[in-house]
Amino acid sequence: MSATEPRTSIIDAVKTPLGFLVLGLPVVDGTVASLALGLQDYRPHLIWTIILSIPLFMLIVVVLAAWRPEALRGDRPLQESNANQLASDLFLALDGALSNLEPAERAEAWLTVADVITTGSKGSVSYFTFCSAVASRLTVLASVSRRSLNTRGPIRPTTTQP
Amino acid sequence: MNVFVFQSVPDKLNLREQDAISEGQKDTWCATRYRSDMKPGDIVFFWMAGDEYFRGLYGWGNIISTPYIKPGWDSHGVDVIYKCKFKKPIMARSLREDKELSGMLIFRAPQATNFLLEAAQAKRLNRLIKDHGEITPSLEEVKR
Repeated sequence: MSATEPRTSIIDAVKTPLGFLVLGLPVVDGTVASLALGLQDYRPHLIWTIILSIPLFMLIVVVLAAWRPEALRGDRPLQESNANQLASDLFLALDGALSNLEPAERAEAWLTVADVITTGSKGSVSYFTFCSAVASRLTVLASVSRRSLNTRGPIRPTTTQP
Repeated sequence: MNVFVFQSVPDKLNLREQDAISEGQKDTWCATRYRSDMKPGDIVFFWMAGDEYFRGLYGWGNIISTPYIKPGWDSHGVDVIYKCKFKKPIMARSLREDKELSGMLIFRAPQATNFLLEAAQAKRLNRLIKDHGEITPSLEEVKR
């Protein structure tokens, strides 16, 4: 085993925030323990610090896993503001062409875009969250609603109410 | 020749009803997408959207006109003639279990009306319908 291998494995271990936390805990506790050996007056406090740091560390990991799991993995979530920007740009680029269609056809086209980008089988949770935000913004910009869509099926003559 | 799936919602045309898809009867369906690909002779499978227990294919027919629009219509339309109503519908769940057919756009775009099938999908779908003991259209001219 070469001398660089342990260093490489340590660097690999701290590539994610979770790895950094796991590695940081023994380093901090080791430092505090060595201080406790030399500083007799503060020893009880330092030992309690070591003891309490373990459940505190576990609590931090559990809370992050529950609320921001992507933070433990080091993923940066795609921000909603980016989703709105992308939706606005897509709308700006395509609505001119789609407005050439009949209003119902244009509405169906935008709803199809919204459906397709939110129903893929591949992609991370953050990707789908981002796509859902894009889809939601697109339907607002295009002023379309699923309820008003009347194109699925045969064309039937509209009956005029007396 | 192209192969399409046209989707209906029960509120507009309930394909489970006895008189829906009467063989030999003509009808005009909305043609919102792939209009330039639609031409007489193309094959159309009729799909009903909705709950999982009735969502699926109910029959097939042929396109008999090019798409056109009339005043008062919400969208373009295309004339079709119904050729076959299945004895039992081919349910969506059985299609979704098939590797080739699970990629059909109809599973990802439930708001759309017209879907153009790829040649491999069309042939696989025909095979599956045949396996269900139903009459199938001839796909010899399908190239896409």
